Amino acid sequence: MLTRTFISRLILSIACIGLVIAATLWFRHGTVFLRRPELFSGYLLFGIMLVPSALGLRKKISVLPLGTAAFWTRLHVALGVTLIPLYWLHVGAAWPDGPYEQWLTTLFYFVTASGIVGWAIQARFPRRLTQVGDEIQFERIPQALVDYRTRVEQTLINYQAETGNDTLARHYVDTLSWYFFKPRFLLNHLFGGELHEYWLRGKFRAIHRYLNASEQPYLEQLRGLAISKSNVDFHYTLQGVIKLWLFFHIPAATALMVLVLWHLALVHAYSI
Amino acid sequence: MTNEDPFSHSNSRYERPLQPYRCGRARRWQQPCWQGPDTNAKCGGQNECVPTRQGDGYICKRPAHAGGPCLQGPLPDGSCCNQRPACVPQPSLRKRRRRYTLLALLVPLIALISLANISSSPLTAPHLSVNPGPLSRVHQEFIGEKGCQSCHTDQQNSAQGIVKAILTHTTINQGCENCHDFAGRSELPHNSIFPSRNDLQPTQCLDCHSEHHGDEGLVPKLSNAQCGLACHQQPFTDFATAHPEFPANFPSESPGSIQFDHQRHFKRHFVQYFRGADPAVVDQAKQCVSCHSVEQATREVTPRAYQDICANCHDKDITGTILVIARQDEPTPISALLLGIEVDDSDSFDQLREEFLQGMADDGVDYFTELFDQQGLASPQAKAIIEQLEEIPLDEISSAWIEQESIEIAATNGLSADDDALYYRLTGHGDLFAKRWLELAGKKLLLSGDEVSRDHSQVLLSTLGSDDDGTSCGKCHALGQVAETGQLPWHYQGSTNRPMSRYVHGPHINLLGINRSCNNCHLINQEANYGDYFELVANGETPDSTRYESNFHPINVGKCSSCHNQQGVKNNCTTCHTYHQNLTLSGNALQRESASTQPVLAPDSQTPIEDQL
Repeated sequence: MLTRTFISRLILSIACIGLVIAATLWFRHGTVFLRRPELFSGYLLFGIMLVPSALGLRKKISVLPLGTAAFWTRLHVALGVTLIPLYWLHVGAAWPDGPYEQWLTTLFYFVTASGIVGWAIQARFPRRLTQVGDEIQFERIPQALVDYRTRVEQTLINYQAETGNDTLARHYVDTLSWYFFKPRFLLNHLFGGELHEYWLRGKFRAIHRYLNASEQPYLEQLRGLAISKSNVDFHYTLQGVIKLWLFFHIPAATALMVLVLWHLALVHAYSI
Repeated sequence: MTNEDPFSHSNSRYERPLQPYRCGRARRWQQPCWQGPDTNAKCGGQNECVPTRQGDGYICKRPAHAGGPCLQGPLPDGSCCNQRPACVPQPSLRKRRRRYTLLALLVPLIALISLANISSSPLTAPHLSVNPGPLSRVHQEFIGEKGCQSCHTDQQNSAQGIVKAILTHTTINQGCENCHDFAGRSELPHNSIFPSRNDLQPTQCLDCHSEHHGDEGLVPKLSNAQCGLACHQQPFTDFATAHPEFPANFPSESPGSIQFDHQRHFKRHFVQYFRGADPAVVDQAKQCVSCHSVEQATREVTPRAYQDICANCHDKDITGTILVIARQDEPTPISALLLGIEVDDSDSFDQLREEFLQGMADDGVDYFTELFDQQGLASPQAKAIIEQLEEIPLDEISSAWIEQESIEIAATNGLSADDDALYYRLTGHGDLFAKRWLELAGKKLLLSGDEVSRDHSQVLLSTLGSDDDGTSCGKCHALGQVAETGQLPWHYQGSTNRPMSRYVHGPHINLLGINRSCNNCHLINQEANYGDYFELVANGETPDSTRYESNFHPINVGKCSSCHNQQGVKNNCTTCHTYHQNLTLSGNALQRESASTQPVLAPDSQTPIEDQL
């Protein structure tokens, strides 16, 4: 089934491959005709770098009909990948000789790598989040955790009032309050592990034998809240990573552009 | 989740993710206030609400999602009853990201600017942010304390200079020319003007050369495609098939400065000289290497010195040859030169004879000085001649000639006189006295303004350079060439100068072996009239050099392509051709080189820089 997204991706891929081939041929032509092709490839590289940089701008001026954000994201990814062979074409090697050019190259590889990682995160994590079933905004997670704690504490107050025991309450204070205080088992959620379930099972199994029949329903209520809270932790982890990778990608891309402009200025000052 | 709709408008406040700050309590996983901080990072949750006045009192305005109006209600002064300490609002993720981005913008910018000390040398400060890479070892030796300014002259070592250079077109050519000299301007293709190619664009050094990559790329190897397509109109594919044929008589199109008839020497003189000797001796004499210094073979395999290879036969003819300086009754080439008359113009001499002899009788050698001045021949050579003539009493000799008295004088420096003439006996090859007279005759020829006087000077020079036996200077030295070259051909000059071609005999000799390498390319042409050209020169004519016939058959492309082909030895353009003409180092570079304590080495080997360039 040829969806519009697939066709769009196909066209973009073909266009980018064509761009690389055309640039390579032009570079070779420039080399043969002694036309300093590195100037051409440099400006091509700079021009293409500006297009992915415009994604943020496109998001800010959403009132203008400049294409969908999804298309811009695809364009961003496609051109970002295209930059790799063009960069090698321009430098003539995978690693340049000059000190600041080495920094530039380091940043270029870092931005590219973080972009690829981010692209994989954005392609993969939303599906994983959907599979959990619940939805929650990242910014509302602190409030959700407070709500969980409130409900747990209310349950325990009811438990004490109705059973006259404090076994479960003391168990909460000793162990489970740590779990409910803030998102836990982040790495475990990131890699799809079940450590949090194992931990919870252990804690609930430990207290289960000390509770009588009238106390068991409260234990089950706590168990339900704990399991539900783990979904919030899962959302916090994955949404956090979705936001976190931009902390590497965007500042590095900014620093890269600074070095690129510096390089451009030096080339104009000393070589053109 | 915990609630079907926990974040409906009645259960929670509206989230604004673009707000720059978030509640500090939420950051610590506590109950966030519903107001949240303002855009100036000021806590907005110190009061649960802002009560409004109603009638005589106040009513609580806490929204439903925060629990609705409180039971206690506002205090009598209208303030909220639920007050709490202010939190410390925390920047949102977006805000933090912006800060990091700003930091990522400023840190490299500041680092780049602070490390851009353009007056430093990249050698002493290799981490300069304007240093695009390591210099080649050759150039490292030359930049010294001037640093970047050594080559990048347009940037003037200042921020203003850099900005100006960014905004204007700059070339590195000027910087290159500070040390490198060429036959023509560096912007010209091949440093030459090609009148038929108006389409050629100015060239930049950076079109081919690249620096700041270490030794790589400094001296590029142009490919055949680059030579054939970038400038030359005919694409060059293969040496054997696509190279134009060599010029006629290649490589000996020009006669050279020394007349040496190989054919005649091999056939007649060597056989005669070694008559009766072992045939192997004759064969050895006919070997090229018996005269040519194959040990020092470069582009030329120059002949050895006269004393080594010629003196054995020719010295006996030269030493003791008599040069007649002046006769009392007829002109000699020297007296004709001094009096400015033709060498065979007896009538003019007769008119000037009395004055000439009387001048010598009155002033002696000073009269010769006067004559040199009159003819415009005052020069170091003339001065040296005068000094030598002072050894003999010219006034006495001339007085005797006038009085028709008998006189016989012989000086120790080869000068002598009798009743008839003043003589000089040559001491041997390279005799300075004779050489100076010839140089003055050559000077006279160059000073000749019109065609007639030029012809007369040419005849005078050739007459002075020869004698009846044909054993003097003009026999081997093509003296008449002074008219074309401006200097007397005392030394072996080799073949035609080809500034864009290079050929080294050494590897070819090593490869082919010393006994057969010469004859492989240089074959004696038995039919050539080698001597005709030199005969015309010796007769005082200025022959067209195209009439010169070499002793050797010309070498054609086929001879070279028998080895240099796609299956054999490399045959790309740069194997035999260079781009630059007469590439040399200028005074600046040489001064720096001599000041350097380290030997300057070529990047690819341990050979001196001169060899590489």
